[in-house]
Amino acid sequence: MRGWINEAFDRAEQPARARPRGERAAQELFKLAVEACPSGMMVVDRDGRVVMANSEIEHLFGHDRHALIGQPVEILLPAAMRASLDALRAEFVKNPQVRRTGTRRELVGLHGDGSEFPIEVGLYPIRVRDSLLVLAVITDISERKKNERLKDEFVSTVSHELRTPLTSITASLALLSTGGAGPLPPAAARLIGIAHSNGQRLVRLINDILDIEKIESGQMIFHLEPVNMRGLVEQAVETSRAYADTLGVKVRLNIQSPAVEVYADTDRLTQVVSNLLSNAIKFSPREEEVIVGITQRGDIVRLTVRDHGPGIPEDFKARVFDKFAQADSSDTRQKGGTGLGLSIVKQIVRRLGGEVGFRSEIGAGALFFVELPRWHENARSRVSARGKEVA
Amino acid sequence: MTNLRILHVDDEPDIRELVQMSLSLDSDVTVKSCSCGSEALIEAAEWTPHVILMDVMMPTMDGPRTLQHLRENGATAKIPVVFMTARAQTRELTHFLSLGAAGVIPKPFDPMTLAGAVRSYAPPLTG
Repeated sequence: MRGWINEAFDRAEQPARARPRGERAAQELFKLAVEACPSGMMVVDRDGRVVMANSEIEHLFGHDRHALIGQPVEILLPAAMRASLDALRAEFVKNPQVRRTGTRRELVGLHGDGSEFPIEVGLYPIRVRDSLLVLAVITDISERKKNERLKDEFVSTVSHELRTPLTSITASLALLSTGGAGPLPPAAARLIGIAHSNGQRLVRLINDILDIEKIESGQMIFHLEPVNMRGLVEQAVETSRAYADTLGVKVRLNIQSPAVEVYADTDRLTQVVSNLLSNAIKFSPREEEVIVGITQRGDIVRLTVRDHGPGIPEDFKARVFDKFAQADSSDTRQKGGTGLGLSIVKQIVRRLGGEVGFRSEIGAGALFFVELPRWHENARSRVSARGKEVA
Repeated sequence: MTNLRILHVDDEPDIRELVQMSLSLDSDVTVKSCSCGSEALIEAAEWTPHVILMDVMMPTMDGPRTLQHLRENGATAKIPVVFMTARAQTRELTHFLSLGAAGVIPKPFDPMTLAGAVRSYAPPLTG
């Protein structure tokens, strides 16, 4: 086997004067770059034999890197993983495109002492004359895996351990505030009401944080199906009416909204519409109206939610969909929001293959819109092709 | 009208008391409470409730395991079991339904609508 690097080494044995100065400099630069890389780097030929390895490979796998030269790369993986490596190599040789690290191409590494550890592999083709070499960039992801486990445990703890006492608190306050435990003096009723509404706010905050975490970690499952947009919006408008009534705001669906289908997850799309409605209602003055509309243009279905509130300040527009964003830090307290609702909207809509945006002028309210692909037979493959069907 | 018999199972005493009070807002409901799965198996066989409302995470015998034992006993096999859980994400809901649960009520629950929600899982009452 005579790979490109061997040839480079061979030439290195020649008197320096025999090599062109540019080529010599390029080789030195390449060697330096590979050596300086904090990840393990290895060059493998198309038969899967190691041609070159940097010192980090030695550190990661516990093998002398010079002893690795000419060895099959399989020795760096446990037996159970070798089939995955064969498949990865066959796929790469068939289609030698760059597979960057950070795209969750995970394998298990085998250390010289027999221990195993999770690794992530990036693959970069190097074409030399008529042969193909592969530069493999290998990162030990043990720490990342540990952190992911800790995060999962934390989410689980938040989900269960925090909600369980909260169940007792909010249920007790709900029973008290509705007279379930007998009549209360007016001042006590007022205090219980405050405690109850803040307990519910805490529940919403926990639910929103859990949702954001699940979306960002790709753990939120989307069950895509054709959804009647108008029916879903009518339902969401009805559900929001109780909240709107408490603020003296009216909500209506534009009667000209057509009955069109989109390809979406019913629960998540309901969450999108509810969040937009809740936001519009929250910022509407008493007696004002929130108008919801659906329109269709070509293959795009557009949902709009219009309010007549104070509008969005110019300097806040770029941050509207950011997490925990509030136009005014005092808004969180005044409006009782978590600052996560619109961020959740944006992330869900993107996962559904759609777009979200808004128009607003100070003093003239705001109009938020969501655009989703209209359902037809081709929509399924289009959304699936973007890898958005299931997390 | 026949009273709706609901057996509630939860290891948290506070939740048991609150669920008892919440369900009792409906005068046509009779509630019995159990603090663990094994107690629930005995009570369900003797009292034959119309619906069992059960916590998921309980020590010794959790909700899914209790449901499995209920299904294995002819006297309790057909009683609808509704899980009540703080783990109410879509994936968990699908899992609980696949185990044979009739439904899932998320925690925190609304005490004012709890009786109606549980009643919706009950078979039609006669008499």
